[in-house]
Amino acid sequence: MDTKNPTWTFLQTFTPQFQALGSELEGKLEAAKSTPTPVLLQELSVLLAKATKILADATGSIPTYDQKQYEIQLKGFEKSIETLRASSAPKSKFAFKRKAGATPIASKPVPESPATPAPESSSSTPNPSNLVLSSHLNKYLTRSDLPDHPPQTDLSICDLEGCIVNLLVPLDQPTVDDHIKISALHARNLKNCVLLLPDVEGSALLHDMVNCVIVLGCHQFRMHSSKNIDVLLSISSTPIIEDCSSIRFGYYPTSFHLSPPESPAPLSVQDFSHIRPTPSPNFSLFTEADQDTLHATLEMLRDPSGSVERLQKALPVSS
Amino acid sequence: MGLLTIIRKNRQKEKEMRLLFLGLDNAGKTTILKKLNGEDISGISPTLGFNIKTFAHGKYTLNIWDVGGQRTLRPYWRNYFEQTDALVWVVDSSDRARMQDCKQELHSLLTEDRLAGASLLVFANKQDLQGSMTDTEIRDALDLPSITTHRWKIWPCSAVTGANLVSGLDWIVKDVAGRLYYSTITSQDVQPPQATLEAEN
Repeated sequence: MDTKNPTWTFLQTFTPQFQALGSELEGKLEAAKSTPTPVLLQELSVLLAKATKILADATGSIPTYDQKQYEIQLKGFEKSIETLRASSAPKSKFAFKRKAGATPIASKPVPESPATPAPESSSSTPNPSNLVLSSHLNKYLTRSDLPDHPPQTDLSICDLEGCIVNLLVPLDQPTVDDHIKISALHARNLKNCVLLLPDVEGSALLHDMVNCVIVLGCHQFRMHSSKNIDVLLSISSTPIIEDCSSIRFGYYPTSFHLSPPESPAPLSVQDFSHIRPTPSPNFSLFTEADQDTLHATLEMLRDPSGSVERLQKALPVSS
Repeated sequence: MGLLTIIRKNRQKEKEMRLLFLGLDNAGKTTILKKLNGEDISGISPTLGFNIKTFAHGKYTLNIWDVGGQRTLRPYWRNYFEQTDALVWVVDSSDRARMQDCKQELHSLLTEDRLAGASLLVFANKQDLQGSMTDTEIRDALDLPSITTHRWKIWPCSAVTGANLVSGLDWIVKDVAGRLYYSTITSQDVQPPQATLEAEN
């Protein structure tokens, strides 16, 4: 009997059902306006979600005009509920969607989220703090100045002035297997320092450096808010600077490598403070002659027996 | 019910989600993406601009936008907010010095109207580093429990080893699906309400 006009038959059940929901919403809204309780708001949200869903499912089965009218009606409700919610408590805007979504999912035979249990919290392991080398003045610092650490570690270097930090494999015992392997480097607030570092297995992130020489190998290099820095790198990606000035880039000295790469990748530096086609005024590349001079000076600084004042010869600006 | 069937089928085809990867620079956003996609992660340069990756994850097609996190680029994040279903906030767990910065950037993002309702996954990346903070420490450092406007979860992971990347994605996809496609889920897995109505006639 209803094959002739399925829309009409559908409307006969849909319209009263939807209107009942609508009037229920309206009634509850009125009640909530006088006394907005979280429970009432929750009920409203659930009702609204129910009505929205019924309407969405009816798409195509009811006349477009009706559909539009109902949608406008629901939008109005949604707005009133939001206003109420905002005025009563700063509650999750979309909480009702979770409730609406949770019900059908929960009724499935599959438990809530078997595929995605939260990974075991790493807090169960004893809480290791990171390795920090900090607060030294005019010193030659080597691995022995670091606190106790495992051979593979990430390292933070901060608040140094007038120091040489040499974590290269010592010249007199070049075959030691348990030499420090740095997996990531953070450096901050260094002034008039020379850092001689081995290949870092990860990224290097440097902040607030003034008048320093940085020698290291790494996967990624980022330097922020620094000036007068000479950087000698062994890197396969693009080193970047941001908010920096007077930076010179050159190649990592071959003699510092345990096993030098066949041919170092050409250095292409990016300045995020100067994203334009014109060359950045904030950095330059070393000329071969300057780089050779610096390499020779650093080679001497590698020997820890001399005085720390020798670093003056290497610094970009001598004081 | 020819038309309804067509509409249903169309909706099932369009199971796409848009995920936005944000976080401070050096967090590992691009590395996570490349690792998930099975690409080489050794020569990744800091992102200037953005990367887009599209890949299938279970029943869904994910459109992932990875936007550079350098300070200069952060003002441009807002250009990518539109239509975002989920926000993935990537944290360098070893970057203790910038946790405060990280917290502020995250919380200011969450006040964005155009991100309202987006699910939030916080990837506590670089758990392979010996001195990294645990997910619990980061949860507190970023004050995640104070977030009431978004559904969130923190997920310890490592882009380098690949640990927990896929399971984190599973969570966010499931969460978004529950929100976005619950009617389709209902019509597939549970008895469709439409059918009930018809039966009553």
